[in-house]
Amino acid sequence: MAGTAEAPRRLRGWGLLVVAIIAEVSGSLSLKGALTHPVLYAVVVAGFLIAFTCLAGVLRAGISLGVAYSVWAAFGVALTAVLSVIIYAEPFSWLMGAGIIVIIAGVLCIELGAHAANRSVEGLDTAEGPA
Amino acid sequence: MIAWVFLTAAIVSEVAATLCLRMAVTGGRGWYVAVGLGYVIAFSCLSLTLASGMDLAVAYGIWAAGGVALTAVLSHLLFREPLTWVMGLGIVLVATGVLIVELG
Repeated sequence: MAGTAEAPRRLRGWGLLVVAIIAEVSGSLSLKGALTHPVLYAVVVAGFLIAFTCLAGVLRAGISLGVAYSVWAAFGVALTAVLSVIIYAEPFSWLMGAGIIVIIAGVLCIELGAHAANRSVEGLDTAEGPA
Repeated sequence: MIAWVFLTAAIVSEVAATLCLRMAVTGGRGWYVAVGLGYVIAFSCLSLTLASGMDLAVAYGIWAAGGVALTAVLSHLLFREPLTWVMGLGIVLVATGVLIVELG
């Protein structure tokens, strides 16, 4: 029943999730920069507004909240940590690197688990298992 | 001690706002008002947590990790979203990784 329209809709959802992550990370990084350059508060507000608008679009595209939110938070934290090391020359600790690897492993599990769950739901719909 | 009360309030209001965002998608647009209100309360409580003397890294790490875990469990219960053991493990790993990055 989900049929052929489902795949491009989900793809659009994942695209919006990427935009939401980039907007949120830009907003978070600007928040730090705004302490010295107040004009960056405009980027903070715009970044968070775009992020939440896109996140609503992600949910509308049929991606579950649990998956969308955890992937969003995971990349948000990991990218902000890596980019603050690069942009603001914050010290890099090996513990931080280990944490990022754990986050990536977690995102992979969520992705693989969600993919398997979707396939089994679709398999039930068509009364046959995935090939 | 009071910092933990504010932090708990920040997590609860942030999770509530995120669940309202999910409601706004299928329900009426009025839910967006609850979303905005929830995030304003969440960020105010987070500021109060910091003002009460908790480190930003500690507060943010617990806030984000708690938010991810609670949102996943509650959206499974409320919206019957699929949640397999592999996905549950992934969410625990993300929450743990977030805590390590923020505390490390």
